[in-house]
Amino acid sequence: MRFLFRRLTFYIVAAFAAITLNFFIPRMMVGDPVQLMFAQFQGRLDPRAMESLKETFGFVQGPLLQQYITYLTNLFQGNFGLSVSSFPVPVIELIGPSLAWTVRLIGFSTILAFIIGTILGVFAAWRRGGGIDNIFLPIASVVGAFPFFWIAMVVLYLFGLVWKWFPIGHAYDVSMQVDWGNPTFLSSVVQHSLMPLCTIIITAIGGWMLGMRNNMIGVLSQDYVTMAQAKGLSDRRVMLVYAARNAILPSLTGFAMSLGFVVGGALVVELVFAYPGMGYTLLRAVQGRDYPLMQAVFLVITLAVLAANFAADIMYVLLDPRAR
Amino acid sequence: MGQEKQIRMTTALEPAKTTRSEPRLALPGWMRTILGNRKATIGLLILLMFLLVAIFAPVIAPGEPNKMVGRPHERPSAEHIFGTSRQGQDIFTQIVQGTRSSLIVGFGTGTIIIFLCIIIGVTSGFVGGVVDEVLSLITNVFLILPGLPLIIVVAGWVEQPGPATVMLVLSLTSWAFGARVLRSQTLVLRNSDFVAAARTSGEPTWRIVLFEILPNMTSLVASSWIGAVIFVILTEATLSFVGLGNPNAVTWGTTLYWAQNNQALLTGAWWTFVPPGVCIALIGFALTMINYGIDEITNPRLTVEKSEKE
Amino acid sequence: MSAISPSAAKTPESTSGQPLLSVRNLEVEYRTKRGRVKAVDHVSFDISTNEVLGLAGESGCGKSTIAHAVTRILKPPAYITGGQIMFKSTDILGMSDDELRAFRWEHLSIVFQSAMNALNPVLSVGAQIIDAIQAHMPVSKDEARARALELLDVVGIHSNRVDSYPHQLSGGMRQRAVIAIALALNPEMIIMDEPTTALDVVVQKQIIQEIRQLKDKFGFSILFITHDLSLLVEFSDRIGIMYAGELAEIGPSREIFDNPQHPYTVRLMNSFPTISGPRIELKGIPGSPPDLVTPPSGCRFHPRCDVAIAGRCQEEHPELQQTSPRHFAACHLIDERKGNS
Repeated sequence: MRFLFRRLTFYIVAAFAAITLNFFIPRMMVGDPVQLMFAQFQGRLDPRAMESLKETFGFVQGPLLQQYITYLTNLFQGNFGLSVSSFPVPVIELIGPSLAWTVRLIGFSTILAFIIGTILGVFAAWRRGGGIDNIFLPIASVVGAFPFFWIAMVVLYLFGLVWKWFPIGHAYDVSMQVDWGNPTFLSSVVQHSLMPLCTIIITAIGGWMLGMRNNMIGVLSQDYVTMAQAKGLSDRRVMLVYAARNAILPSLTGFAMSLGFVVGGALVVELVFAYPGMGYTLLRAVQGRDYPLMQAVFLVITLAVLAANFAADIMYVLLDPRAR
Repeated sequence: MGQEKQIRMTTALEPAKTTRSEPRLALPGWMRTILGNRKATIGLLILLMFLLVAIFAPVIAPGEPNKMVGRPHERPSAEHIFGTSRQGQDIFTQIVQGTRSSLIVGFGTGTIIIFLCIIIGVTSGFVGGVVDEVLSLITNVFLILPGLPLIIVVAGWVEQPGPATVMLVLSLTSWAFGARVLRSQTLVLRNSDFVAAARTSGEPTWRIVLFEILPNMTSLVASSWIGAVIFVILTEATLSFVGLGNPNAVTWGTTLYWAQNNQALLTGAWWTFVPPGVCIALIGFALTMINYGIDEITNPRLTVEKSEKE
Repeated sequence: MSAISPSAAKTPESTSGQPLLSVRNLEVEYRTKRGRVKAVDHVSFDISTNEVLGLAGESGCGKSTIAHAVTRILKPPAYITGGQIMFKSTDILGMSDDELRAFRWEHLSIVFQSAMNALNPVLSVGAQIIDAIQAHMPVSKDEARARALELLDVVGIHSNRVDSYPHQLSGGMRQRAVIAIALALNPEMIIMDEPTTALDVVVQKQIIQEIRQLKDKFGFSILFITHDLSLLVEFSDRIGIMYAGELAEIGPSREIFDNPQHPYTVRLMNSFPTISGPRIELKGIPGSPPDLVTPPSGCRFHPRCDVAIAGRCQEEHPELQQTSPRHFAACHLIDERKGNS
């Protein structure tokens, strides 16, 4: 439990760092950020929107510290400000639906990629030089060299446009009403999600597989694996309980860095497929200079990544008695 | 005693001394070691090809890359071997000249990053104490914050990011991984006998770091540097692709950006997005191969086991 | 694997009757980048029921490789390239994977050098005993657990430790737990590969004492591998001395101790202090073990031997020969002594 407590403290520090970065980034820019924003939206922006923009970022009169406190107070009240591009809709209302789409798409595909990659890694190491090792490993290395979004473009081009297997763009058929009880709607959601889902899985699988394979090879040379075999245990038990359970631990530790990378790539994949998730929203916000939306999306993504890491830590504690 | 020179055989897995015949060319030792490794040689050859393209870009594909030289979306032909863009620009010219800027941004930023890694990582590991704790905390926070969204947000605040800004943003957000790796290696070296000896003999700290610590982690610094270059080339392409680069600059990323913006996918103009993607992948593949090679050279166990499979 | 028929003339038999384990002309090769290395070269020995045979030698002499070959847990790049290993009347080298799975642990188990590495860090000690039992016997989890508690008690671990994880135990306790796992199916023979090397001297003494008591209680044989000859003299019935992949000398402990035949054995004896014996000056062994990719000609020990016979030892490879009923050594000096007497 001390381990989990320590990790939780760290995540709180990290979340606070992200919030603080969010506050300082605009202030580190050359020139006055308020002037910058004015220049960006000259003549196009409602004066009320301008006021709300200032307030959201704490650009009120007074010293920096006071601005920071104002900013924090707003944040903890759940006040992320009003969107500029769809003024005066509160940012939080725009984020809600896109967060749900992202959690479903990226959450599901990342977990699936982790599981499939880990399993393939286990078998690749168990039968070293065998089929999985010789077929999947080179493929994974080649695919891993391409940018995520480029794979997405190729998938979209081939399966969406040339062969027309799947619908392109958006998360469901926009002519339909959102109704989760309706099977036609559900099947539309599934059809729309298949291409981005497969893209993320294809691109993310290689890293997990390679990592797990190398950990496994290390663990397989350990005496406790040899002894388990000598004891007469079944191959299945040796492979899973003795080798894989130990080999997955470094994978879970490395989850943090990999997850940030995978999520970053997946967000851009959303853009290619015009999938209305957080990545799409973030990039739309950047293109439309919708700063409140941009900042809020960044914070929410960060918090989601931290939460996923905490989940990985809990898994770690469940698997390794030494962390308990 | 003569037999004392004989290598002691503790286990057959001990790093084997290579008995390769000497190449005729008088190459420096490290060069010879690298060329003795197949993966590293393949990587270096591909990299060399790109370097030559970058250096001789004006000769290979002269002309203004953004100039309209043909009809929109012409298929690849003898005249335009990679076809043309929606604006009738020659894709081949864009790729060749983009090689230069992509490599400059990649290697330039990678170099800045590795300097940051060394400064932060080695200081953290060598000084220890509170300094280490603070620097490690900052490193770990930067490691866990999702990099790309952070970079996008920072770049979003910049009105029209030029190459220098992009390099600065990438450097400031991407140093954490290398810093952590170098920190742990510094910790190992700091507790080694030869550093302890240097300390007791009163060598100044900067001398110990420069002449005892750093030379002993050359291969780690090299592979971290290469890793950083791969990351930067990928991320720069991504930034340009999402429209956060300078759209008038010529890089592989901007060619992809225009392909996406001009509905190249919908119109079937695959030649506008396939070449830049393949170039990014090839350079990433080459650098990864060099890194694998460095790994195998410094960690010979990896190859001994493999080569003996029956 | 070719079954080479043992040449009776140079076979150091242990006792009369059929031995429990009989190793004949065992050859193990490591296939490395630098070439093939014969880590074990034509080694033969027997172990009979309830006997302790100690194998000693410097690191790299092939003693652990023998332990792993007998249990057939060698991993590439090590390969058994010749010889025969018989357990009673079963040919270990001829067993299929399934036969091996059933045979090992029920008849022959092994204790590894480092208990920390031999125990799965994420499973409790009890679970690691239980799964060994359940792999061989159709018993319920509760029955297996009862047996696990019994075994822990036998090796001196309180039964409330059954659910402890390896990291929660001390070094000595971990090694006891590994011994408990080895005893799980009451095997006829246990191979112990430097089981006490990682422990401090006091704990080492205790564990050796306990192993001896367990042996007397359960009647198993032990092949005991160590680099510490002093340990063997008190503990084992017979001792084999390994040098550069070959058996240099083998015989009853007392005889090896009182009347060593091989100069290498003499050197090994002089390189450790005896607690009870007279104070003698400790001599290290000059030189280092040879590189087995290109072993020395003639007697492999001759470059380090200060009593080598000029001409003969460089040229002619010495074979094991009998010096007393149960004592064999491979040294040309034996001929010289015979000639002189």
